[in-house]
Amino acid sequence: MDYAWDLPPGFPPPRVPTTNPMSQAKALLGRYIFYDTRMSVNGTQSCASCHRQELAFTDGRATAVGATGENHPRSAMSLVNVAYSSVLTWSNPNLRSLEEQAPVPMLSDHPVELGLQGRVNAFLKQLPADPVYRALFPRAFPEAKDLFSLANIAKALATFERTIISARSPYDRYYFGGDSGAISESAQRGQALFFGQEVAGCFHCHSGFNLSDATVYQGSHGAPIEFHNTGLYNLPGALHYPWPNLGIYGQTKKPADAGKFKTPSLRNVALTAPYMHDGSVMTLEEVLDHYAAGGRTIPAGPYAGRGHDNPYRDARLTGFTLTPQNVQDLLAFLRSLTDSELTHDARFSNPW
Amino acid sequence: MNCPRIVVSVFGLLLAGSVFHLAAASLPALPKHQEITPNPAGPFHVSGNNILDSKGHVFLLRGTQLTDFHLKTVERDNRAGDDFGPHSATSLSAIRLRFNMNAVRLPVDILESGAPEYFSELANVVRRANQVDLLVVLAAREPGAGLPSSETAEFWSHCAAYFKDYPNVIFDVFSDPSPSALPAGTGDPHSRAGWTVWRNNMQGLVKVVRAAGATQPIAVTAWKDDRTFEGADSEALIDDTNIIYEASPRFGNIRTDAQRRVQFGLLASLVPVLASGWDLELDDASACAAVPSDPSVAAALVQGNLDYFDAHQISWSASTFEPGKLIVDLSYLDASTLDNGWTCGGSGRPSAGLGRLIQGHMRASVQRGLFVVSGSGSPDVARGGLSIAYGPVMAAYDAKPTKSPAPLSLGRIAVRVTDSLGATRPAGMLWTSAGWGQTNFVIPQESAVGPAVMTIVREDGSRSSSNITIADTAPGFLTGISCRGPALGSITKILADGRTSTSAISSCNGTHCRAIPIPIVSGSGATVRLVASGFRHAASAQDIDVNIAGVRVPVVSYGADQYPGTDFVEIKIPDTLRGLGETDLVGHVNGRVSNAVRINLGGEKPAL
Repeated sequence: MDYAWDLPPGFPPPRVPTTNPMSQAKALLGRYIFYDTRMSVNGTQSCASCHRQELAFTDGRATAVGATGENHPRSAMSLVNVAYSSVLTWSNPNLRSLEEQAPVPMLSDHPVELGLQGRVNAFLKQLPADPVYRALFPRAFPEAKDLFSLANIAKALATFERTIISARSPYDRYYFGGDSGAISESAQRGQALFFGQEVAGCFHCHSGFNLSDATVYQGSHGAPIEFHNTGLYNLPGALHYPWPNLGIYGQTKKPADAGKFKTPSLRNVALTAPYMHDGSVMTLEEVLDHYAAGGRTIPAGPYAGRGHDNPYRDARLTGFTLTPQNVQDLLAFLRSLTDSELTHDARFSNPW
Repeated sequence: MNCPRIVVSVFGLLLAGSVFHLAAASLPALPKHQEITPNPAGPFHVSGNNILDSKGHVFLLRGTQLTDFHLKTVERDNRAGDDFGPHSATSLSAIRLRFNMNAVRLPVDILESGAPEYFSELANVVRRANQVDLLVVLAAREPGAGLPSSETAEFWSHCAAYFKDYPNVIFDVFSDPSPSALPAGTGDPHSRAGWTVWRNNMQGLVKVVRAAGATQPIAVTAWKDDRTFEGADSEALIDDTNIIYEASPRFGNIRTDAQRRVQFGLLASLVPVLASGWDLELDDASACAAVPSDPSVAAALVQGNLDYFDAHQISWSASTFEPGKLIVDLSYLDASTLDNGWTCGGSGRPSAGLGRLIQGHMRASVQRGLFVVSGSGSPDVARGGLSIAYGPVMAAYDAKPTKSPAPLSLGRIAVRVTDSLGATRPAGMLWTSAGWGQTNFVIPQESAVGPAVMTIVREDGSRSSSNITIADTAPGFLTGISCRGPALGSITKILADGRTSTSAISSCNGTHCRAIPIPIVSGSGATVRLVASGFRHAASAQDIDVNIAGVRVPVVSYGADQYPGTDFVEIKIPDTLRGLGETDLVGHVNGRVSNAVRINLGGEKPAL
């Protein structure tokens, strides 16, 4: 293995499948593929279309739009620190590895994302003709007999994605680096609120160095992965969330799982608006309002309802009172999680 | 949040003795260690610009103001139950221990003093404060008067006579001299003529106090306006050798060192100065308008005052020990904070105040950093004793040990204690919480006494540190919640058939605790085993002073208990206390007071 993680303080080595060890060559290949618009049915989109570096690898939309213009029902998740995600996508408890996940947007047709379904072989046949790929695939997979395969593309993409690690935020310098001036007094007050037991208690779900309870790394304990219904909706009916975004109910078919989604990392959260699985919350201020109320109330329209009354709402989300100062301070803390170097780090940028 | 709300976990002994040295890298600098404020040791006298105690040591008052004393509210002000009156032993001991203060200013209304029981009831409050090592400044108020009338003089002739033998009392003869009371034509109150009027009035009261035989220092308060002692020169000084000059500046007028110097700084080089009552007055819309709206900027200005007072050896009494001022409430007695912001003139919740800021200054802890207390809530911790750190504990999860001995890491964090000799040892851990919470740990038995540092070391490589002061003893009695209320302990009875029966002396239901009446048998008293911490290194049982309702009771035995960090103190309750009901229990060892806890003495009252 020729890969050194070079991780900052506080960041343990990610867990990497033995079938796809890290290598610089594979990461570089994955980076080229990630930005290659030839992957889409009409040559308009690549992975990077929905995972834009300047937006911490999100797309700034409420819900993603595929190559053919079809809307995805959910918001594009950030790929930052995805190496530490114990589970992938918003609500699929069975999707645990990036190698499994990478082909999903390529091949999905409900909705179409990249639209490679039925065109995979044609796409693969193009690759040897490209001088970049002709050079990189053999270096990335020196042992492989079938170099230009979908499996190798998935492995290379997964490897590249694992390298996108954000650990240079002001908060990191403050907390892990001991630089007491790295974040403002306001952000320090916000940190105390965020991690405090008595008011916000955000850390119960947004926990650990990656600020998500869906985190895994080498040596981490195998705690069960939790999904949470935050009381975003409370529609009449049995499931209380609008179709098709029913959370892990889609997999488990248990009504009590309706509305349960993964806890996203809050790293770079100031760059990843709009928020929640369906992008239905526009600003961080509204996010705080939602949690402070212990659920969102939608007064009118097709989604009208009091989320606080959702019977499957996580019992920990009871609501709390924030002063205007608290709000400012929490926002300052959340903004201190922005790793601005990441957004223009050449290692993650478009190499083409 | 200054004391363990989590009960001590129960299992056997601990402590690995390994010694190593912590790398100091990446830890923010800690403030200079703060001394434990000296106990008042009167009688005091003034020498130059210093107040000296009976041993000739310089004494600086570091205190807060109490709620005014009123005869009609005595019972309420001394209550103890789910919350505690501001004049209760519990509240007073919290001022001493949690805030590391050594003085309280107690306003009294001179017009109420004619009642026959007035001074005896006032003396009860004074004794309670003195018992927990607080000096009391009795501050006279004459409602409606800008300068003292004969009624104030009359008051002092009685009050000074009554308290002349209380060495730890200072008399503030007139709290509110107002320029509005100046005779017409006097002109500027801060002119020579204005100060002459002020001096003559104060001098008259000083003479009354001395005539009553009282020799304690007397505080005289400057004009109650925005300029306090501005313009006062040597001609304004009182003709008495034992005078403290008191200023009650408004926050808005002491925002810079230059302003402080004008108001009382120059005086401080000549005579002892006490700055009292300075507060942000957030509940007063006009005063609050002078306060920066950013909590950190406001905090920096307050810190500027504290630093100025320290640098110029100025005594102070800050804010008021009331909910919404220095504390959040009278139940847990937690310090207030500016961090949540405030609405000027409003009474919004949570109420903002200076509590944590002053607490942090008095304990040399970093703002929003770790804050470490002993089992009693005091700033000094005993080697081998229970200690609690609040703040950014940031364990991976809430955890308590599942087996003995106490583990050296818990919830993926560890605690290291670096003593005054530079030796670093791991601490046995009893509880740890995720996020901003608390961790309970045991100060390594082998630690050297003196200034020390405790450090939380997390598995993620991050660290947080706090100053601590390790002592041989740091007496504290454990309670069900937050270092106050009914004491934890047990009483063992010998039954008629020779068997023994042990029962608890308190019980808790959630956060509500009650003291269970201890059966005291006529003629034989009772022996109670109190759960404690910080006593084990006392030289002898005779060195441990345990008082119940002000009566010293014999200590039968003491020592380390079976649970890590905890001690036991076994006391004999004399027959004379039988039937007293619920009352206060306070201990002292090596000159340090414990927290005040509650105990319920049952049985029939002895016949008179």
